[in-house]
Amino acid sequence: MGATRLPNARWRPGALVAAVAILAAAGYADPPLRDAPIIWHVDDRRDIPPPAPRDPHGLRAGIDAMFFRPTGRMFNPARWVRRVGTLFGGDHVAHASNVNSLDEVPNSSWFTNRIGLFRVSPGEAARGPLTSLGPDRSGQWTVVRAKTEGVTPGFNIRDARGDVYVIKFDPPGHLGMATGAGVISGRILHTIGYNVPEDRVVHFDRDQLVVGSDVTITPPDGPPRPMTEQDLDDILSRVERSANDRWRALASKFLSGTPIGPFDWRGRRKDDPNDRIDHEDRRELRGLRMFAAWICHFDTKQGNTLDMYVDEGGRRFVRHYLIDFASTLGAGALGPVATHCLEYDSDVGMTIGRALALGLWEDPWRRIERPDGLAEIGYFETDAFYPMAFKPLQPNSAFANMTDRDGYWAAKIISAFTDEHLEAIVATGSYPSPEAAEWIVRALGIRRDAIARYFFDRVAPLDFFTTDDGVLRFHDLGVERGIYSAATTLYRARAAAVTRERVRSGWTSWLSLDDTLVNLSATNSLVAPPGGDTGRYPFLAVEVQASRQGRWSESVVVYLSRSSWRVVELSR
Amino acid sequence: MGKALGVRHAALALVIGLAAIRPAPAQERPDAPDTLVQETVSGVGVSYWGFIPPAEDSSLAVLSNRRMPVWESILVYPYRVIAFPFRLLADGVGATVEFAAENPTLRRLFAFKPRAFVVTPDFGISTQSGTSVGVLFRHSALLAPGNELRLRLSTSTQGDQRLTLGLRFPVSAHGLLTIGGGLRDRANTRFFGVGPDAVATDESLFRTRSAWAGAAYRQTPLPNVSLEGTVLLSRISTDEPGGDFRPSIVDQFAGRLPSGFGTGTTGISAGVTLTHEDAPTTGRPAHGGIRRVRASHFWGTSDDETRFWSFRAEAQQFFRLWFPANVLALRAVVAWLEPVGDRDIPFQRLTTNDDPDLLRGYQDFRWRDRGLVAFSAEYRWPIWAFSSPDSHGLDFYLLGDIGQVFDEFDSMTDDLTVSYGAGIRVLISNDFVVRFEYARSDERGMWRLQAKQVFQFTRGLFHGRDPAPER
Repeated sequence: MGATRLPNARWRPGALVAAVAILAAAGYADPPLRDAPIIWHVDDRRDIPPPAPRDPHGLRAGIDAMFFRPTGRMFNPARWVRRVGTLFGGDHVAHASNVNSLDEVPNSSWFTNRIGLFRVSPGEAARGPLTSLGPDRSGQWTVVRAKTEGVTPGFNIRDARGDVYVIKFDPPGHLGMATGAGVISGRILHTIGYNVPEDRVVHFDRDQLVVGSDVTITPPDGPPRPMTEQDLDDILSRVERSANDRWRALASKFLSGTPIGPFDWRGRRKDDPNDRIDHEDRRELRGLRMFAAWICHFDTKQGNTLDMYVDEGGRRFVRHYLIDFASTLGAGALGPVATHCLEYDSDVGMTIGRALALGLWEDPWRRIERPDGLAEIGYFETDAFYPMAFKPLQPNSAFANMTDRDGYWAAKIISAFTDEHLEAIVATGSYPSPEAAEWIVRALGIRRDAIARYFFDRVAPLDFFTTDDGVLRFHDLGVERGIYSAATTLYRARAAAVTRERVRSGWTSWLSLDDTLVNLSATNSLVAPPGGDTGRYPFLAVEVQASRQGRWSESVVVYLSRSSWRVVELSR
Repeated sequence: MGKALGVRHAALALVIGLAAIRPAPAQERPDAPDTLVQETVSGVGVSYWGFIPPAEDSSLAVLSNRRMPVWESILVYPYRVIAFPFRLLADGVGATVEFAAENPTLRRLFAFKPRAFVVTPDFGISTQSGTSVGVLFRHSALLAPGNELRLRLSTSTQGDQRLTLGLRFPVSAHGLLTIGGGLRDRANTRFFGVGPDAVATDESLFRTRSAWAGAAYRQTPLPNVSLEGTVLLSRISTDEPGGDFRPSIVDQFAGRLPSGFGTGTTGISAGVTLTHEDAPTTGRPAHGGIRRVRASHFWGTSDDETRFWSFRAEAQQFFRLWFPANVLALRAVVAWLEPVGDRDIPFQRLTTNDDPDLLRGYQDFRWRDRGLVAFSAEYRWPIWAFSSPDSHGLDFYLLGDIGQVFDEFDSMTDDLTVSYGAGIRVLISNDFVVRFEYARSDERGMWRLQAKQVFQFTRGLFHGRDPAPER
């Protein structure tokens, strides 16, 4: 008997990588199917002792995010293998950890399902997180803290009700740009499902303000000293006034609870027992990449997040917020900058690429033009917008882990915003000129459709499967949301009996569907478990595909209980 | 339970109904919207998936990280062990950055707040001077606003010591007076011979001691046009190279030492410079240019009574290319020394290529003669900017120089040399640029690291630039 022939030594490493990659692409051994209610709420609001405040140094965190973390990801061998695995249908990272069996994000202290799963009226979207009428004007606003550094100064006020607001202004020469963008993007992110502060545009006169006692100010060239009314006049003198000679500002209400610093985009807060999932593996943080791309929210450093230790219903826990959206929709703290959203602050790859290109390649941001005569509008790309080209100021660990499924989840939510939603939300930005509002609505619509088309082309947008009277109904979001034409779309489905361990009995042949529904009675009758052993096959798998102009999409497989006809799982 | 759900549905309907009220158009009201606020969608109710019950009526889950597959564990855990030192290094770098940024002493030292009096370290590396360290004192409001002082001391590992002082005073709305002077001892100045036929194998070294003091008055009679008169007293003496620097000029050129070696040449020069400048002073000029003509006369005050005229014409022009920040920068220079009488011009006052932008593929001082012609071109394009495309940052550039020294006008183009290369410019501010470049000629390649503006000729007495040989 001859010796077993091993593959040629030259091929062994490659064969090993391919084998591991295929394993990686195959993913995990999924848990057994269960006919149980869907998880829609995460138990992450348990009473906990107050975590220690975090105060990461901005520059150090920036260097870490910009250089060290990307380097770590670059050399991580598991990511390499998974990259190879993408050739076989896998993802470049493991699936998000906090999704339910329907591939949705359950409600949690991070995220509350809103427009993605519910019908939200335009008015409701426009109202967003507001729970009050804004700063109380029945009395003067007392300045309790001043910010003098930077081009755009600001201060904090306490109104007659005792509520504290951060007052921020527009960069010089761009009245309405940052304040409008901050309010609009806050409303959008809230409607999506994130926790955000209550922001609104306010206009006020000088008489509305009074400097509080014990307020100190640190001038650029001197030590701290008590703040005077003259200091306030100096701050306001650097701010552009609106046409009615009043000051226009963004008022952001202090969040309730105790601030304990920002959350990191990677890892967990170790002293929060409720924080059990690495942040880079949370779908709502991965998917935020596409929401940020949509509204050009480039300043997603961890300093623009905030954890609040709150007391709600007798339980004390951490609620996680996104804050400060003034640098969105093409706006910037110092005015619009064309590279924002298309390059990192220190983009090593782009820098090397430009050097090698000998100046013969035009940076895409050079082609972005601002609309004529609209000082409120910055560099906000429309027709040439490509969602995957979006880059925040710093590489983001969660964004780097976004898979097609995460992106699809985000695109599904973004596409739920109708033009009416956008008009109502943009109206809250109170842009000085109606043309600016119209322009932003149009731009958001174009970018929304671009994101939806990108991911709907990759992940079949067949969703929201429900059963009713023996019929499995689903939504084709691609058609419903105007991305594809209904006239050129076809559907087909096939079924199989499935064991708890997902062993199939064998697919039926494909059935053409006239509409977005499957007759379960008829389908079930076609499924014949081997040996007629229906007890071993308590579930029915229905695989559905859509065809757009002659090409069948990737499959969506829905698992139903054959006893309760409940949808128990969805697989993409 | 059912009743409770009914109440919730009714509340939800109320919420949705109230939500349907659209806010008034933004232009009509100052602060929008000031309506009484209702609870918004809170993740429960009738969803596209069916009814989602409130948390208290549904099963809650404690979700945790997914377990890592075995194959991934096999790869990741060893990787974490191997990467641990690098992680420590990263933490160390981060901690250092944080310390440096927060330390009050360091903050004061490196503060970028505008101050009248600033002390900055001076650092440089070059093949000839070696590593140099020094200190630069600057005052932008000496005794009165607008008065500037610049005092620089530096020393190098290769025996290049320098002390320079510059004072600049505005004397009228369009007039500027500059007074400056300096001392420099250079232990290893290069000498290859005089003329375009000087060969590289004749490389030798000598010592140069320079001292100068003078004044310049610049008047700006028209926008972009300035006229400057300069009076300068200078002395340059030469000797054998210092220390162990070899080969000495005395050995290499035994019997054929250049005119003026071993003696000092002292004299006064007076000159006039006319400049037209319409290039933006942004550090990245993309249009406009600078044109300058200069004529001066040198009267030797030492025994040899040397006299000569010095003429120099120079033009720079910047052209914006296919993209807004891609620029072609061109520069042409012609310099000529015309002796008066029959005295030779001492070799240490001849024109040479010590200007780092001239004939960059050759060593500094590679060529010396009465005349010099040079044409330079740089194609520049930005590769990175600090904060916005128009701000300071990094430029890459390709360079080409052609030129040579000459003894007669008729032969100025007979022996032209060619240099080419590439480099990176780091624009720190409008007038501070660090350049790192490589240039190649038929003789050799030259690396240069320079903290100087490109095509720089505007720096003179105030900046402590050694004004001799004549430029």
